[in-house]
Amino acid sequence: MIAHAEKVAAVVAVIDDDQGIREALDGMLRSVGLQVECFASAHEFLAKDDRDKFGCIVLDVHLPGRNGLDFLDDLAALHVTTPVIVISGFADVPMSVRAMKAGAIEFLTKPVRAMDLLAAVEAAVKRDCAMKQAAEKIAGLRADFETLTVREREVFVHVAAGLMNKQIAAALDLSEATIKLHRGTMMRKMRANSLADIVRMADRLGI
Amino acid sequence: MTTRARVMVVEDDRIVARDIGEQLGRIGHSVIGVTARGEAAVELAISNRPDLVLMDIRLEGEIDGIDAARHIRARCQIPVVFLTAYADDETIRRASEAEPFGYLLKPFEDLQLRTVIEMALYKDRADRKLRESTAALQVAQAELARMSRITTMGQLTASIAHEVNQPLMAVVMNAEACVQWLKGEKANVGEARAAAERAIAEGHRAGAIIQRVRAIARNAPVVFEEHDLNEMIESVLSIVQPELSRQGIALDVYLQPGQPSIVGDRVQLQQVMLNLVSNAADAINASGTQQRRVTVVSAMDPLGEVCVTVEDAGVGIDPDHLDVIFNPFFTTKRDGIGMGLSICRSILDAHGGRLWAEPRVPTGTCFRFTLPPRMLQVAP
Repeated sequence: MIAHAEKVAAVVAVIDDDQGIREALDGMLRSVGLQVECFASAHEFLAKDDRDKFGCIVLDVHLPGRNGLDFLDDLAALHVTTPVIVISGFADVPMSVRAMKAGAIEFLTKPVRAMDLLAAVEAAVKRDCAMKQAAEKIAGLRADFETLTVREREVFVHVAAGLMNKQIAAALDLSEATIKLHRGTMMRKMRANSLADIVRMADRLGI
Repeated sequence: MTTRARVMVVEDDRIVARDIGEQLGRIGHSVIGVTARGEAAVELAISNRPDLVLMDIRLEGEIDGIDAARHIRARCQIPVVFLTAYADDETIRRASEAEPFGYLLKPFEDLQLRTVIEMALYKDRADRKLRESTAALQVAQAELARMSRITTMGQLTASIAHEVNQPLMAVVMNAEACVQWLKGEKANVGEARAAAERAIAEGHRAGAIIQRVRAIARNAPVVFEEHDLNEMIESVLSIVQPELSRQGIALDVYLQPGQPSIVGDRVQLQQVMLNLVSNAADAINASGTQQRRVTVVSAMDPLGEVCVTVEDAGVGIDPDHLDVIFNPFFTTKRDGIGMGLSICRSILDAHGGRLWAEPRVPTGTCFRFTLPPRMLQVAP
C-alpha cells in the first residue's frame, strides 16, 4: 500500500454510477489515509467549482448517459489536467488504447486489486503534484517577466537568442552601455544568474 | 393375439364369481383376486396391479362397481370391464361416465367374454402408448423451451458477468479496506465494521443476481401458480437492462399497479418477456434508428384481461409476415433458428392467453400478449 499516504494532501475524485462500488472505493481509499469525494456521474463532477483540489480522478467507463471515454475528451476540452485512472468491466485492447489516447494514465480491469489501484493513485497524485509545481513555476516566471519594461523585454529576447551586447545595441539602435544597464536590471528582475538561465526561461515562457 | 392376462374379479355373488373364474381359465386367462366389496376392489387393484378388472355394478359395501371403477381408473389406470344383469338407461349412463373398456350383460358365453377382454386389453395398450408419447412430447417441448431460454440467456452472458463482477469488486474492495482499518495501533474498529457490513451487503447483491438468472435457466417442471405479473416483469427486466444499456438502448417501463394476479408458470412467462425484449433490441440494432428505446407496458384491458406490450421503433415487420413470424423456423436473423416466437406463442396458448404482433407507425413493431386474470383462468 502507499507508504507516504499521510503526506498526500490531494483529494481523489471517484466517479462511478454504481453506488456499491462507489462506497467500496471510497472506504478503501480512505482506509489508507486518502481524502475522497464521490460522484455518481461525469456531469456531477463537471458541475463542481473547486476541481483544482483533486489530485486524481478514478473513473468507471460505464457511466449512464454518456460513455466514460467521452468524458475524458470533455476534460481535455476544459483544460483539466488532473490525471485519470480508468476502471472498466469490459476491457478490450481497442478500448484501453482509446482511453490512453484520451489522456488516461492507467487502465484497470474489474475486479480491480486494491494494490494496483493504490499504486496507480499514488503515481497519479505524484504526477499531478509535479504538474502543479511546474505550472506554479511558469506562473512565477511569467509574473517576473511582466515586471520588465518594454526595452528590457526586447533585451531579454535578444539575449535569449544568443546575441552579444554589441549586436543588441546595433539591433535596437542604442549604445552598448545602455544595453549593459538594461541587461543588468532585466537579469535582476528575472532572478537569473547566467545566460543559460535566460535561455531556459525563454523556453518555458514560449518565447 | 391372445396374451395370458391377470384378471381381478369383483362380484358379490360367489357362485357367479366362481363361474367367471372357470370361464376365464378356459379362455386362457388367470384370476389373481376375487372380492365382493367395492372398497376392497380399489385396494386390491392398487396392490396387485391386475391387467384387467371384471366389475359387477351391484356390490356389497359402501360403493358400487361404477364408483369403484372410477377410483381404479383415477389411481392406477387399470382397464375395467363391467359385468351386469342390469341394463337400464340410468345405469348405462353412469357406467359410461366411468370410461369403461367394455360392457358385458350377464349371462354371457366364453366367446363374448373373450372378445371383450381382447378388445379391452388392446385399447389399454393403445391408451398407454398415447399417454407415453404425449408425455414425451411435453418433455420435448419443455426442453426446447429451455434450450431457447438458455440461448437467449447466452446472449446476455457478457452483461450478466459484468453485473456479477460489480458486487464482487465491491466485496474485495470493502474487505481490503476492512483489513487496512484494523492495521496498526490506531485501528479504527467502527470503520472496519462498516466496511465489513458493506462487503456482506454486496455479497448478497451478487447472490440475488445469480438467483434471478438461475431461476430462468433452471430445468424445472412446468408449475402453474399464482403470480404478480408486474413483479415478474420487473424481475426479467432487471436481467436484460444491463445488456440494453450496454447497447445504448433505453428501457421505458410503465406497469399499471393493482392488476389482478395471473396463474401460470413463472419461468415460461418470463421467457416470453425475455424473448420479446431481446427481439426488440435486435430490431433496433438492425435498423440504425435514432430512437433507441424499448417500451414495456402492462395494463388491464376493458375485458379484464391483463395485456402486456413490448414496443420498438426498429426495422419493423413486413405486413405479410405478421403472422408467419410465429411459425417454427421462421427467422430474419442471420444466426437465428426461428424458434423464439413460436415457443412464446405456444407458451401463451398453454396459459389461455394470446400473442400477436402489430406494425407500429411510422416504424417498428408492437408485440402484445394477453393473459386471463386468475378468476377466469382454468389450470390445465
